[in-house]
Amino acid sequence: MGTFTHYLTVREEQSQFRVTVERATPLEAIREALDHALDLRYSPILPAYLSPGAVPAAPPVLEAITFYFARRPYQVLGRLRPELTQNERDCVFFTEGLASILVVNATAARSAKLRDEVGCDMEHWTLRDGVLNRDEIMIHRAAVNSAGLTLNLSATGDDTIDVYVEQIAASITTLWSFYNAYLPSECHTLSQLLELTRQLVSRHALLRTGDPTMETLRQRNAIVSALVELSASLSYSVTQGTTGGAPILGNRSPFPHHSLLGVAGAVRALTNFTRYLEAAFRTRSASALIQKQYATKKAQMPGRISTYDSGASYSFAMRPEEFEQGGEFSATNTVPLLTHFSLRHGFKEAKFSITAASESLTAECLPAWTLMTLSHEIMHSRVRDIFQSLFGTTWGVDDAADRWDVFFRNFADWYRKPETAVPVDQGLRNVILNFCCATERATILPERSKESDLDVTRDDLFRNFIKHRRLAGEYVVHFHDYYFAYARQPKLYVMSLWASWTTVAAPVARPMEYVVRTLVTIACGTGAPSRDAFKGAIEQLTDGIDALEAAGITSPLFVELRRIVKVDSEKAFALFKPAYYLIDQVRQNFASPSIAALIDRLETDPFAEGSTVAQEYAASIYVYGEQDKPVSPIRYSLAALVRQLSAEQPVHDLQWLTAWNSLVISSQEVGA
Amino acid sequence: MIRTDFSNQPYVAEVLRSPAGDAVVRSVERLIVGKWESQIVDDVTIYHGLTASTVPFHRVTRNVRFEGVDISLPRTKTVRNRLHYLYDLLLVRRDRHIVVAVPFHGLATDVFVRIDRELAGTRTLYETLDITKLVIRLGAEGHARLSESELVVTRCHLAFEDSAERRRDIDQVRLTGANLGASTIYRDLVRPVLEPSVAQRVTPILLGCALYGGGVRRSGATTDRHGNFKITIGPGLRQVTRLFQLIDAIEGMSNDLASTTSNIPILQSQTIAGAD
Repeated sequence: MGTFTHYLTVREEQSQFRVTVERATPLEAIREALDHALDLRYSPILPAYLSPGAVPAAPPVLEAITFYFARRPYQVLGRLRPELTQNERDCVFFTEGLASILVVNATAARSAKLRDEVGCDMEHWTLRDGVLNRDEIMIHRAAVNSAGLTLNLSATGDDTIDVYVEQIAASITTLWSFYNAYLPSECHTLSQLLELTRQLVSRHALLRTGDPTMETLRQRNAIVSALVELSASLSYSVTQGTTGGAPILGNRSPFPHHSLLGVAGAVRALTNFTRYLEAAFRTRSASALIQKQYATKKAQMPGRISTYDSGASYSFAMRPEEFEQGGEFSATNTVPLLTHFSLRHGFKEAKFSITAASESLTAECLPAWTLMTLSHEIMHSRVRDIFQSLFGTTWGVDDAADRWDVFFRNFADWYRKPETAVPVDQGLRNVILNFCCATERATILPERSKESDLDVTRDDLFRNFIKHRRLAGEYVVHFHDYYFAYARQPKLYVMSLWASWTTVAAPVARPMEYVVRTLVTIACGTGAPSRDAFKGAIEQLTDGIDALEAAGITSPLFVELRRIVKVDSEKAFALFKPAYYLIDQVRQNFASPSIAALIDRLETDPFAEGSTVAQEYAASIYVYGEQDKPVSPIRYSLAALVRQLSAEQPVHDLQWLTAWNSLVISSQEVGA
Repeated sequence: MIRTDFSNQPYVAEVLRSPAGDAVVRSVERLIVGKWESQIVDDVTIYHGLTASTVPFHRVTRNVRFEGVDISLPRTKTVRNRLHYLYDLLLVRRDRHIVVAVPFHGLATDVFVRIDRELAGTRTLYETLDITKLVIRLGAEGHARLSESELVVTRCHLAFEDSAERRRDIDQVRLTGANLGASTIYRDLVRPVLEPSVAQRVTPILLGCALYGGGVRRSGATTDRHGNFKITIGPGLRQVTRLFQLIDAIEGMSNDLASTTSNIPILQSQTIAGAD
């Protein structure tokens, strides 16, 4: 809520609709609706054309409203701008809904002329004394050239499975018709999900045919849980993505604070953000590379964490990166992640979906709810692929006993003679297992351990892996996030992490783990000896926290963090060392300049100024989209975050800034 | 003859394309104190006026003798009991092509936005030059021989990005001179622009060019990626009238070098502010 945000409200009164615009807060309208038991719908609307230093003019008395269902509203605002007089510009608003642009008090003829310019569906309301009658709603829809989709699913006879088959098929049917009209780029996602569902159902049927074993039971349960997740995610997509379409009054949104126009525009922004990263990563599939290249190429991997001291070969030094070697390894048949908002889950990643906190609809420009957190969740998906390629290849068999026998033998042989070259995939697996074992016994020792103390049994190894694989995964994710999304900007990364972690329970519960995670990530790629890297990282961490406090972001967590690096630094170093060892090997084998270049988009991004440095990014809220000048959602979000972290927001209205960032990202063509 | 008050320094300019013609001149006149003073040189009309600001953008006050009278620059005027400083506003027109220029960047961020508001609804657009393509067209020599003149690079700001290493050993390089292409340093630095690689990307973010004819510098301008220009006015305003020749020369090299934008360039300016 702020001075730039207005709320378009519609109250139903005896089959008429009273339409008003509330300034700054909808609470008065809510109070009145409650007092009189009226049905109230409303959505925030935001002035589109701002001038530096000027508060936008208040909306005039409503006589008409035209809604434009523009798929690329940021570009539409750029295209319309020279056509509009200053009075008209003051009457243009944008929204987070499917009706992404709204013009107040344009005549039907003028609205139609602008629609020709914009080229999208339109709904026009003529109001009489602020009242709308249904017969005064005019809708213009462009003809949709929809292709059909073949439903290759049928009832299996298994009641449990058939429930999900029907739910998934029904959701896809709803989305298919809707996406054809409003989001054609996502039709491909639907057909891939349908095919995935078919494969899961077939596999489940196959598993039912043989004698049931614990192994097949585990696999069947994994498939059922995958179907549940798919069905739930598709259901979210239906409720969040398809409401707010024309006719607006017939498509109420389930979000109470966006009940009139919905949040489909913001969902499109999430989807674009996700597809953008997916498209970059698809150019070089980590799992394909592991299975085809790293399985055949041998390399020596360091084995003694206690004496590990990094070195020049781990720094970001000039040489071809290992991940870039070999032929083409583009990913085929990857299933895109479904993306939506969730108040309950917040930012979370699952096998087929990721969620953003619902707070990001209102306060995305606050560090706790920045879209940059979504990049971390998307990296989880990439890292999930990497772990699956290293530790298992099929549903639910990553803990299979015979597989673990092999992993243990390989590990034990290598651990005894780490100077032996092993296939890189095996080496990486050994490194992860070595990290898990070292983390399990990471304490400050009065004297050096005996060699025999370091021996692990098969069961120890398995137990250590199960216990610490989550943490290992987090380090791999941190590397990806730091290298690809944050372009290796340590202070910025520290500030971003800790500004958002102040509102999360886990860092408060386990501050040591989160301090070490930060230190290891920003030490990555320095190539410095462990102790030096640790000290350097502490300095950068402290700098980042000081900068946050200077910008007014404070937390008792920061006091604890300073205590840890001062008083408990040896304990932190004991945990730092194995993690530093792990992240160095990950850096050496997963850094990819070609993917980074696709994410940065320096050549085409109009704001990049040839640099990934977030402070140099020239985005401005007074600049509108243009054809053939695609913006990198990552660089754009990062720059928005930096402005927040340095208390340099262009306007003091969270909702306005949030919706604007969403509008820009939702308008990008991605996935090429 | 028109005399500007700050001709000893570069002016910040935008190049507009407007179908509105005389209406543009009339609209912008609302932003000056009094009426335009105009002068026609060949096919170019120069309009000059003084725009009032309560903000002092100048660093020093200069005393000059003009037509036998001592005056202080900038001139001042008290409006509604508030002291206003009067700064040059130049509008140079050739058909649909219009250049507006003021002497200070801070002043430009205010005046150019107000000009845009005055011209709202007239389908006025701003011209931008693709400086990466221009650097490529000018080649390692930073030079192009045209029919009656010669185009040379006089300023080049390059941004370096090392995507292979994600290191920032070098961020930017700034070169200025009378003819950069004559030096081997320029050739070495722009090579990655001419032969791009994934590992290291070099992006021109500011480019200055000068038009020479008969061995004499006829006109010069510096521009960024967004359509902001810095131009030399010169006491006789000859350089500014020849600005169109410079733009013509650049556009004549290739038809994909110039384009238009509806965005106000000065609101995207970061590098042009420091290009003095």
